[in-house]
Amino acid sequence: MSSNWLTLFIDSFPKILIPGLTRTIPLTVISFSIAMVIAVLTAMAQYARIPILSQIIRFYIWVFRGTPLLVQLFIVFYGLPRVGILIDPFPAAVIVFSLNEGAYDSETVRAALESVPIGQMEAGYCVGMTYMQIMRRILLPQAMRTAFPSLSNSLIAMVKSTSLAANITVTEMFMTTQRIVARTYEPLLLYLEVGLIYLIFSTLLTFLQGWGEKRLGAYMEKEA
Amino acid sequence: MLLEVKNVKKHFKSLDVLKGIDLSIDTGEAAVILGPSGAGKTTLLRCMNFLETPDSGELIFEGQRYDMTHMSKKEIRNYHLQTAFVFQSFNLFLNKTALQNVTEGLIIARGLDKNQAEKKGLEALERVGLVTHKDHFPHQLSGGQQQRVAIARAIAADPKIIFFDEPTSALDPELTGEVLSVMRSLADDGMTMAIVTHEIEFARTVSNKIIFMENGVVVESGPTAKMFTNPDKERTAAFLKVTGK
Ligand SMILES: Nc1ncnc2c1ncn2[C@@H]1O[C@H](COP(=O)(O)OP(=O)(O)O)[C@@H](O)[C@H]1O
Ligand SMILES: [Mg+2]
Repeated sequence: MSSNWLTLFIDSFPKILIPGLTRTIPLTVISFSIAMVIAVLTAMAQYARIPILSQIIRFYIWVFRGTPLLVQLFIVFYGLPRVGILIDPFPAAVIVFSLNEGAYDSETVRAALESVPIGQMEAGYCVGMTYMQIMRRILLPQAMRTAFPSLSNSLIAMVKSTSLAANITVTEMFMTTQRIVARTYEPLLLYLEVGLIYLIFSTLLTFLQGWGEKRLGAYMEKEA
Repeated sequence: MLLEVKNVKKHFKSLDVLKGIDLSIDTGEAAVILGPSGAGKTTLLRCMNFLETPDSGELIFEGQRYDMTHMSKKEIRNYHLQTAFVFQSFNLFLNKTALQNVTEGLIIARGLDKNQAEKKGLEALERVGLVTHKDHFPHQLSGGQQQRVAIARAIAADPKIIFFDEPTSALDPELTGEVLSVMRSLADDGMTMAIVTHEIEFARTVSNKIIFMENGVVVESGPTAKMFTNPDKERTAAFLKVTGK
């Protein structure tokens, strides 16, 4: 029995890991990158209190933070075809994960921007810099440093949430595992195994987070 | 006349902070603006640098007239490229080293190349005695050193005038001297400056002109020597503690 388990574990390891590398990781990396773009742009618009646009962004954040990710996935993948919008599983997952993550990260980045002492903006103006120059060179780098731990945490959370994409037929790690379970009837071993692979991914990211914080931290005060 | 403002008015809510300020500053002049706390000195400097938009006011800078309430972004930026501001709270860029604080505006706002900017930046740091601290971040510097970096940032771009808003008020008493002595040397070199300060002794010995403000109006202005010995207004005499008047 135990030697069977070991064989199964070893045989299935690459079978689960490969969709991890070809689906879970790309889904996470692509979605998180888009989410960052959304977060930074929307946070900047909110920070600048651009009339109407700020209201639209507040509405977007309200909707995406107030509804379950799983429901959002179902709406886009199973719901939208009803009105003629058909999206393949992977891009559908990317759209939902990006928008969902972007909504959360937008608030993180906005709060971080607002924590940057405003006097630096005025100093920037007085040396002749434009708003966007000050934003890009002075405020955003400091805000991103402040937001970094919290953004890394949401990245780690996102790696795990991508397992929900199994529900819209993305053959990522979890779905692959389910299929092996259906064939072998070894749920305990295989779900532990996929859990272990998620754990490895998260741990690697946690190390990266620590390294990143150290690199970014050069100008920050020790206690900050 | 390098710079003149006329009829600058500014209110916050129901409070009239500036009630029609006129003042002028000549090239090479070190003008000190004195007055009790709440007089509107900071608001005046902020209006003169477009960090606040006044309700009314005219600016005449190098002979060119501007309506202060309707300056375009471009006009303001162009003005900022010729002026500098030193804040009470330093306002250094916290993610930049001392040298980068000085070169940032030169490179980004003026388009100097990095080498030229660093050369100018080091010269400016040299003048405030902080070349040795060029790679320090603001949090690694004392308040006095941070303010000297802020002054280096101000002078690096060869401004036509530098505005100072209580540059030593946020400092521990033992650190004010180093900042004041840098400012004194700028005045000696003929730098045009408009300085808000409570350092009466500094004002008396460094400035050519005193502008005394109270309750949002200029009570009196004149040459430093006269203002300290024989001012026209009782209130000025009382504030400057001129005796025998
Ligand atoms: N942003 C603001 N909002 C409301 N009131 C302000 C603001 N800035 C200054 N004031 C008020 O204007 C008055 C003058 O302030 P200020 O210009 O800072 O005076 P000073 O620099 O001479 O001490 C004070 O009563 C102050 O409370
Ligand atoms: Mg003040």
